[in-house]
Amino acid sequence: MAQNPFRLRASEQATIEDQFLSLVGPDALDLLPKDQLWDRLVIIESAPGAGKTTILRLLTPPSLRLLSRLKDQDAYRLLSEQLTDLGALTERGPAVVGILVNCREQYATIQDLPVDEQVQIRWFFGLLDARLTLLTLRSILALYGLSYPRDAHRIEFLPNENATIVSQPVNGAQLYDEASKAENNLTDSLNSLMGVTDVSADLSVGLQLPRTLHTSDILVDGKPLQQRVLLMFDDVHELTLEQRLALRRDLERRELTVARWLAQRSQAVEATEPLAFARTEGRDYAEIQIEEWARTTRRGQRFYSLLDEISNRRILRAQVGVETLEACLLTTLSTDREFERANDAKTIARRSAVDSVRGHQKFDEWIQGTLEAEATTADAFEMAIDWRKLSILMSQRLGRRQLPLDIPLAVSEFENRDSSSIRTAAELFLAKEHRLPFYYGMKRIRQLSSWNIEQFLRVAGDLFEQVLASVTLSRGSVSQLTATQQDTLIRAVSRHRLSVLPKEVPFGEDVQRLVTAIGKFCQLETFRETAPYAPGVTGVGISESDVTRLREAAQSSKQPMLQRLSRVLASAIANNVLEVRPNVNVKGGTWTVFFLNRLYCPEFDLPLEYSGYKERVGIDRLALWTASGFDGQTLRLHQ
Amino acid sequence: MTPDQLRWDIHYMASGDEVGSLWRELKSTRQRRILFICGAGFDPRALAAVSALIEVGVDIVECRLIEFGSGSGLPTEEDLSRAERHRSHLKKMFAENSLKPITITTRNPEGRSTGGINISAEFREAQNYVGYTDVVVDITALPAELYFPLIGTLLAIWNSSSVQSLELGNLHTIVCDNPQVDSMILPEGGDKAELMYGFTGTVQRASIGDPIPIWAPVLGENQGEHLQKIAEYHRPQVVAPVLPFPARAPRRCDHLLLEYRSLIFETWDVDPSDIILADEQNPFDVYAKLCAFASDYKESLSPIGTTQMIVSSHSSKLHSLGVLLAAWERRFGVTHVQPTGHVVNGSFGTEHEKGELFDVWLAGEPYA
Repeated sequence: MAQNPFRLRASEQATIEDQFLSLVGPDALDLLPKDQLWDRLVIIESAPGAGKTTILRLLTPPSLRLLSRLKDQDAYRLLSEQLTDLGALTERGPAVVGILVNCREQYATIQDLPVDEQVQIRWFFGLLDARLTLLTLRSILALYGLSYPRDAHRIEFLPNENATIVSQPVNGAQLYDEASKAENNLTDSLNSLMGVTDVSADLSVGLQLPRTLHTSDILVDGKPLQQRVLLMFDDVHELTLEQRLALRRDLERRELTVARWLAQRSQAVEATEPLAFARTEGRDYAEIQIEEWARTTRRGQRFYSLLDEISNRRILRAQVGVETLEACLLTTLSTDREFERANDAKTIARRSAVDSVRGHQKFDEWIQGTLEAEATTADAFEMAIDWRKLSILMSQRLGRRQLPLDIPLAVSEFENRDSSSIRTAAELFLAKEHRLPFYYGMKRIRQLSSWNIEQFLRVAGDLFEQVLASVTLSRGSVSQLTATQQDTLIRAVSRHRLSVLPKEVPFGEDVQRLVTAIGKFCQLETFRETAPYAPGVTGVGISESDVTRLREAAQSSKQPMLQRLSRVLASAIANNVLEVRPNVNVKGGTWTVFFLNRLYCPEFDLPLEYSGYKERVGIDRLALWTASGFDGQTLRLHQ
Repeated sequence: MTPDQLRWDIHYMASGDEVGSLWRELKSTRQRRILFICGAGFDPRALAAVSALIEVGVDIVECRLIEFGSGSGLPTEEDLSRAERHRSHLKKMFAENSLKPITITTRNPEGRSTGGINISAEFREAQNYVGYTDVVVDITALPAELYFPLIGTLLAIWNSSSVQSLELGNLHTIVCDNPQVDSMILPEGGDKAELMYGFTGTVQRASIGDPIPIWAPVLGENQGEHLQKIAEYHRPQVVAPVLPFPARAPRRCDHLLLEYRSLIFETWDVDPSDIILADEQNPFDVYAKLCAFASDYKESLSPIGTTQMIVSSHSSKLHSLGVLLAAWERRFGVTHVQPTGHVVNGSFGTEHEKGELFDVWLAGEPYA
């Protein structure tokens, strides 16, 4: 069987540079604001798997050098143009030397050492500075195709006009020796099973390297380095809160001329509370929220075209005779069984619609109009949707208190009330009532991504696995996946993702219980006959005062239930299980809404749109759900 | 010892009934004064080793009972009562002043793993081991994030030139192996891969010029998510899965290959010649195979660069001891995904309280 290209490492995990570049779509750089990249601190935030590291990696010398060579090839032309537009690439080659340092674990461990806080912070900056220095040397050498560390002596740091004190030029080899000695001393001591030794005497509170870069000109073989230096700190959320605050303070200094970017998961915040959605902050820096960009740029279409680009690049690698994932997926019902079910659904939906308003003349014209439409169409599924839609609209109308005289409503009023949301709700109702497929077609596969590339690749990989199996069984020809096949597989993936939560995320059992409760609650609200939140409810909202209470509870153990909820929410958000939308204004109030990640929606038969959420759920109820699961009750208090 | 020579090339290990025979023989040579270190968890096998030694009649002078939280997961009533039962059994077995509970905090308030740092600090004082003929560490009821740094610390003490004058005794590790129980205890949570405290090797050192990362995961069942997290963390260029063969269940190796076929052959693109087979019941076999593999790759790739060996253990505790020894001796990085807790799939009966005992002798008389 051919190799499944979606099972290849995510782009940021690709080990070889050309493989990495071949997996990156040009649209990946669209979210960078080109007028704010080089003169201030830039913070890139997202859930894991959204592509932060991919963006950073593109700016490192190996990627830029390779891209500079391949820029005329079709597959890389757009990406090269994007980078040129941003000022990272020129006709002559890279215009930036990106230095990528990862902030994972070793730094956070420093804060667990039995030494005082001042020593801890000096160790942190000492180790980070040593690594930054080494990585700067490595990146410059890589840019010139030189060997690290052997050729470090060819680099020189010459004091420039920014230097406030008289200093001597420093040779790269000397810097390497000093920095590697510092790195070795600090990491050896940090990890010594025989105990730490204090090596912090010479270390300062703050990074030295950005200052060095500010006050020096860099020469390579005696010639000035032409490229702009960019310091990139990845996985900053892995640092402790104190370290993050100290690093941020250090990098926000406006006098620094070196470009610096921080990338972190959405939950790492600068305020003292652990809940990302509860923060307030100034704007003395550029902040890029990847999901926000994905969701709002051309109403998501930009992101969806990025997904298409990524999947198509991978499909081409499989060499099975198709060029897009879309071409592998049927978008309408096609099997006898599906048609049979659609026919049954149509009959039952019609009967149900007519019976439900028997005795009311009010809806005669609506029913007549639908009957006439049925007479002219052979598409049973579309007609089933029409009848179900009619039932919903009539229920909504009947649910109103002031029913005027029983005068027939005009067809035009039916058409006014008809909307794509009601249509989707009707389709969803039919899918649940008649086991018809709902989760199929490229549009819904894209929606399942929840603005996350890695998640999309996983789902697409599972679908493509079946395509490859069909290629093997049919000895070479590709057969498209039916709607039912797609729907079955996606529901299975959804169920699986929910079932593995306890293994995958911190406080996993609690997270699973809360997500299941939210899912069941949303299901009850969605499948009310009037479909009041069409196409459905997929999130819950809490008030501003609840956010404050939650923030306070997180800091103390006085309210264990709320403290537990706060850590569960933090874990769920950090791991992309719940999507948070702060400051949503509706019904005269401001709410923080937690949407289910779209991948959990199929398990509860929910729609994939973000339109519906239920506010006023309250944190006490959420805390109860976290501890004991869903109580089976809908929310009536505010209706 | 030359760099390629294995510290435990010649080793001593006893299993099953041999464990009792070993201790009877040791007892017959001279009076034993044993320091016994074990975990106070809910694992039903927690008392198997200590009971076996007491049955032989050796003198356990002191028992240090390591108490640790089960992480974030709230333990069930059953787990709590089982752990309490173990504690009260141990109290009956030992006089009050010879049973010393030691509490190890495994996570700090921010959720970071701190068990490694804390347990290493607690057991770091060499003087505490003077006067004992044998120090026995029972890892049966201890999680890997604790017993790796614990045994690593003890090995560091036993091999430190500064304590040569202290005349330390034998160092044993003991484990009660029961695959059925292992499969019932499921890790909960664990969102990220991280290096084990004390076993970071030279991983992440920027002073080393672009090393080629080689990862050898020792495979066990139901670990797909953790394996993927570790692979994403290191981005290895070579992956060498270690499979249990020979194994008590002869087809276990095949089943693991089937379970992970997509990861092994599609995601990691493993060269079949890089698959390592190691005896399921012999940690020294895992140890020797890992060391040999690392040496081979280091030599083969030396013309193009340096290699960086990373190991991870996803199988039984017995197998993981081999990983520990290889990592400790060769400075491999050990990576794990620390769960935030454990849940028990099913319920334990009396049949789960036993298993096959293994005594892995790490330092002392046989190696003098």
